[in-house]
Amino acid sequence: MARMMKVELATTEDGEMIVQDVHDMLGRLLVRAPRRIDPELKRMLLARGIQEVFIPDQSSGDAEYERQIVEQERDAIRKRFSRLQDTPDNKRIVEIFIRAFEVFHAEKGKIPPV
Amino acid sequence: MYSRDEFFLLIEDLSLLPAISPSCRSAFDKMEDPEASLIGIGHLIEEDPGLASRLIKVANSPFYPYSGKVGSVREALVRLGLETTRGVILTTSLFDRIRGEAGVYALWQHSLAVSMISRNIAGHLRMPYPDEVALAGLLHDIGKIPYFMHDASEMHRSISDVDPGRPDYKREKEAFGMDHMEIGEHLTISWRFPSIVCAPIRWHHNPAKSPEADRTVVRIVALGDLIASAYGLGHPEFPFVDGDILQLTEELNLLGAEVTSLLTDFLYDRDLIVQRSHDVF
Repeated sequence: MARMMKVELATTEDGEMIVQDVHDMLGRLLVRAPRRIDPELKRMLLARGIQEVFIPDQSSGDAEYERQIVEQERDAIRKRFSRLQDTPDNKRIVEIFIRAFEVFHAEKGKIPPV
Repeated sequence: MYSRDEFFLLIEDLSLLPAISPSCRSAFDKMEDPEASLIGIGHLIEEDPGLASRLIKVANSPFYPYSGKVGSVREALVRLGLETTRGVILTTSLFDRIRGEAGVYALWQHSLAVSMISRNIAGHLRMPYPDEVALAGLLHDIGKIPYFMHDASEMHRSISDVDPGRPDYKREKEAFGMDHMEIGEHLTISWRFPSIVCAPIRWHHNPAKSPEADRTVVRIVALGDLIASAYGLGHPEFPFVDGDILQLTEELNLLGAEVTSLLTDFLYDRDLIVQRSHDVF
């Protein structure tokens, strides 16, 4: 079986494949895998409180996999701050949040500190 | 769509606590009696086995950072304190009523997240009442619950109207005539929580307007709200940061290294919340 990775639904791209069934908190099936993500599906799942889905893990190894996780989180953080004005102060805050995540990830022994 | 007056009538009813069980209500009344003993309050809670076991479970959960295992309601009361116990009973009872609704579990996780960050910030600032600050964080969005209780379909319609440019409180005002801050403040004042708990509920989206006496706690909860959102435990319908984090950290006199340390601590808590929030919900 191919490796899967859990990703934040809000950060997924259209066309990515959901490879594990998605259920709501009561266990009701919302999406049967495999199914490609489209804007309508994403909107429906987010409205039902689904925040993460499984997609194929294309990474070639653990280090690469962990780097992808970090990169995804960086992108997700930037996206969540994207409604703020593009000022030097706001850029600084985004970098502080990203840096804290990198420190956290390194502390957990996943990747060497950057 | 509701007018403000129409929705106010609905929540007026809720302010009398009809949504909680008779045993919860008796325990609530008893907790407000200055003459009441912990033993007496404990006995009332023990009359409802579900409530008693939940309180013990909460006191033993990783969300309340104390050492040692609690085995009785009385120990749980001592560990949590009366105000936090009241808040936990109320929050879990109300969340129970809307448990099956889409988006509610995310709201519960967000509330837990803001509670944990707020407690950490209060501890960092050496504030004398971190438990009350944590309670304010837990309750800060309590004003959203009546939307699900009284008109879940209107709430879902409001949530699924995914317009990233409009924060939740603006959509709420349009759909229900009242935003969650107004509702939350009205309810918590009716339920006789202290101002340190009520003020952050009312002002967490606009700390500058909060009463001076409670402004530090308001800023803490506001900052906690933004940090939770920044790390993915916000509201799915509006997963964006829409406040001035830098200003809040400066007003709270938090230095860069302190902020990084708080954020790193929260990321550990975030894993805990994602893995364990089912334990108490």
